[in-house]
Amino acid sequence: MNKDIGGDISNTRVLEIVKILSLGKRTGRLHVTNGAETCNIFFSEGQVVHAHCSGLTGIKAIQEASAWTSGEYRFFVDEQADMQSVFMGTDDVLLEVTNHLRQMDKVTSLIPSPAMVYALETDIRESEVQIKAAQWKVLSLVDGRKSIADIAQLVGIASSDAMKIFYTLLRSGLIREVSSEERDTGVGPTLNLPKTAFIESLVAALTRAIGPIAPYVVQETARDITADLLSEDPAQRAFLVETIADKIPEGRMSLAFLESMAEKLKEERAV
Amino acid sequence: MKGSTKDLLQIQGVQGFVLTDGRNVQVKLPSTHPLSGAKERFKRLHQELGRKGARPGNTVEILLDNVLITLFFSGSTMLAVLASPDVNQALLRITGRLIIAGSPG
Repeated sequence: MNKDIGGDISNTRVLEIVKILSLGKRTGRLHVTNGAETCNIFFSEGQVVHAHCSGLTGIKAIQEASAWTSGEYRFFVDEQADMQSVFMGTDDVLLEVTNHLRQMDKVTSLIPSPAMVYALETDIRESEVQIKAAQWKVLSLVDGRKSIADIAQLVGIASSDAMKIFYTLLRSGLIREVSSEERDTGVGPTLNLPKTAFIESLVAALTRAIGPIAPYVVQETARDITADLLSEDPAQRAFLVETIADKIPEGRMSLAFLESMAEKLKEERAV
Repeated sequence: MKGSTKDLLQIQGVQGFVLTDGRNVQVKLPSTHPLSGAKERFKRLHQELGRKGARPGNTVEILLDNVLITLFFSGSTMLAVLASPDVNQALLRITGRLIIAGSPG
């Protein structure tokens, strides 16, 4: 049983291989590759003791590799881990990974791969949305160009965890899928706001009210009411401000936005 | 800062305003204005439109002859702004909304 083993993970998934090595009470390193990504899982007499994968360690690394559906694996007998990052029994590891895969099945029914690109949804259905700090970190990087994998790397989380967050954001109606045509032509999420003092103060005031989606709301509202963002016509500017204020779901924030912009409009009248 | 009636009067085309809670009526209009003596008419307007469920929103715009009357409601308070039709209407509505939001209601 000291012979190295290897094969294709499209036939035998990582979780199956972990089960087999655990049952055989093997010691060594399981090396798995999926394109440019690699994962190493170390065993000591059948117990998983350490794993690292694309910047992740421990159970997260095993979860990440378990979701791979293509690639190759090889087991290097008797190679020892130089550290320990998995502190649970193999049964618990298998249970954790199985639960993760179950969740990922649900996620991939909506988000097939981490290569998907999403943009902020400007037309929010809910009047109130609550999100967690981790979700906010991801949401603030959604720009219609970066893929889920890019964002996961920037935030420093596993692609599968990022996919779960995207799943929640998508279900909340905060983001929308960007088609490949949109990405190619630059239509849709591409921002094209003039850098005038008025637009900058408009975006700043709206960002205080609704967050990073603000520039997109300004752009879309201007398009809807056919407002020329370079125009200095006070009536057009006031109408744009008023229309945007009506889009802010929370009354108090809408008033704070109006207050800030009324001051700005007043200053401009005085000049 | 909430909107002030001073800001309102500085908007070009605004002729004046009437502020009422149903009992007291404050009229700020030039004495030559055709509606400067219409205190009772504004009270009735307040009675008609100030009731709960009497209107779909909190802002009502009426074009009467050559005067645009914009009414803002909050609780029992009604602010009526009288202006010429060529006024910057959006700015008037923004300022009116801020004034009524800052009123005791």
